[in-house]
Amino acid sequence: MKILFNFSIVFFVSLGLYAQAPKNIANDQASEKDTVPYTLIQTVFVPRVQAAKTDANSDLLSEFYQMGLSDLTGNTKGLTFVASIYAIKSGFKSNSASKPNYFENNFQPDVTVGYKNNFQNLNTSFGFKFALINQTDSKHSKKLNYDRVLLNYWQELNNLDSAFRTRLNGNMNALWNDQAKLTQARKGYDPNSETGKAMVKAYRNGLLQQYKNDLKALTALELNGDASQLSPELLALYYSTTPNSGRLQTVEKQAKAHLDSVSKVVANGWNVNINPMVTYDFTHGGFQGVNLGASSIKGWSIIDTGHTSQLVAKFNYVIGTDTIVSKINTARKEITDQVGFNQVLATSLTKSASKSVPTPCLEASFTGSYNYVYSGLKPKEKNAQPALNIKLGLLIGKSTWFTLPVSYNFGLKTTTAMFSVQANIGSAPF
Amino acid sequence: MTNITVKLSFADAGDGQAAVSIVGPDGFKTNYIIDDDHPENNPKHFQLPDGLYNIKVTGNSGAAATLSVTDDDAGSVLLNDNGGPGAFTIDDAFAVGN
Repeated sequence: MKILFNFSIVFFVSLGLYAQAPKNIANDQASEKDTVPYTLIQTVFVPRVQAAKTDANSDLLSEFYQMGLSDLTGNTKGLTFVASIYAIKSGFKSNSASKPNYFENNFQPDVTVGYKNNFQNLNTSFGFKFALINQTDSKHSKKLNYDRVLLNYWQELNNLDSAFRTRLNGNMNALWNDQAKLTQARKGYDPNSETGKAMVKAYRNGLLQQYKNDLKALTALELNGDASQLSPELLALYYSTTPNSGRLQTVEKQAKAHLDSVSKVVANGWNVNINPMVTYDFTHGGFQGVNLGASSIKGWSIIDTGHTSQLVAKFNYVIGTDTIVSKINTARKEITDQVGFNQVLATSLTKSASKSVPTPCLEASFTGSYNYVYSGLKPKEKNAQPALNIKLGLLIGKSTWFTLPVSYNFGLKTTTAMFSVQANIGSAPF
Repeated sequence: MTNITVKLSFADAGDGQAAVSIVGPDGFKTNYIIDDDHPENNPKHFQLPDGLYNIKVTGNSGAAATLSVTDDDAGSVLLNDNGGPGAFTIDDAFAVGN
């Protein structure tokens, strides 16, 4: 029922506007023109849609964080900040009214302040991420924003809500004009006397206040699924207005199922980023290196629709080194490739958590990498350095991840395990 | 019939948007959009019969949004309510001809 009312408040927005849509749409994809305004969909529709969906198709562990404390238990510690221009401009509020343009939404300044070797060496990396393909961003996903079938479900549930409001208004206006009650309210005073008019006004003001209270209770029901504020009479009126509870449940189930399928299509799209970075060594006063990176993520479902899987591929060309202590050295050059697999293991840690919040709580990544250092080898170091990496991420609260990456480098024959924290600022970026 | 004006003011004159729905007596029902593309809808003028009305505004604004309903004939304010910043819903009632 909660999901239903989450929807119904959204449907109200489309009331009347949807009637402007052309009737013969050839496919299930509505156009931007024939639905409610674009930004209103993004800022009012989409967050509620995402809150209502039952699936966990979004991935936060791999890419979508803004603040990171990296490798807290290692000898190299870093503080990372990544955010799109749009997120910065909107104060990290995903429901901002402003509409992001392509650049604002896909360009992310990337700054990392790093301490090397137990705080003996301070360096800072400057760069950016640019999303060449950004399919999972709901702000750009027309599949989610202009889905015709979903709008039809919205419209039907909106009509149920509208029918109830019309009936409630009719009841209140019947009381407003009820001559017997008006006569009773005047208590024998002449209808045209000042006292008689004041008593009628007091009666009608009481009705207005009751109406306001009823609407406040209705809003609580629609937005939060909280029916406790509704009087038994109002609740009975609601259920006697709607066609039948079976139809309500059917629409609710169909809408959720369709929403999940649309969300899945969106989440399974390819995402491709480029990420060039330049690192400056403040301790020694010079540029330390350059990292030219690109990454690609593709999501899909293997176990079931509630446990998203992801293929991650990364490529980096690195000039310089991040372990330099005594002097700047850009002689080292290497190519690093990574092919990995992310798996959402659990979508809810506690049964008492709200079922309408699709939170992937536990996620694991399994990554194989092949690094080839073809210049600037350190003593006893091999050119080829394949590695196996496992990372566990645990979501605490709404947007903070605790991660534990463990990797074994076959080239160096070393195992490293470090502890990191990643968090989103404000509301989630997508 | 009374001349009524419905106006939604955005605190920072930014690019706020809203969908307005009004339900009243005698089957009165209207829906319209407020945004930069519909300047004729804000403020919006109506001639309304006496009775109770439900006005629901669902919208989004970068700053606070204030809804006002005024009786132009009497020069009085029938309703003041507010929402935002961010996504908001105003669900309230006003009386005409009380």
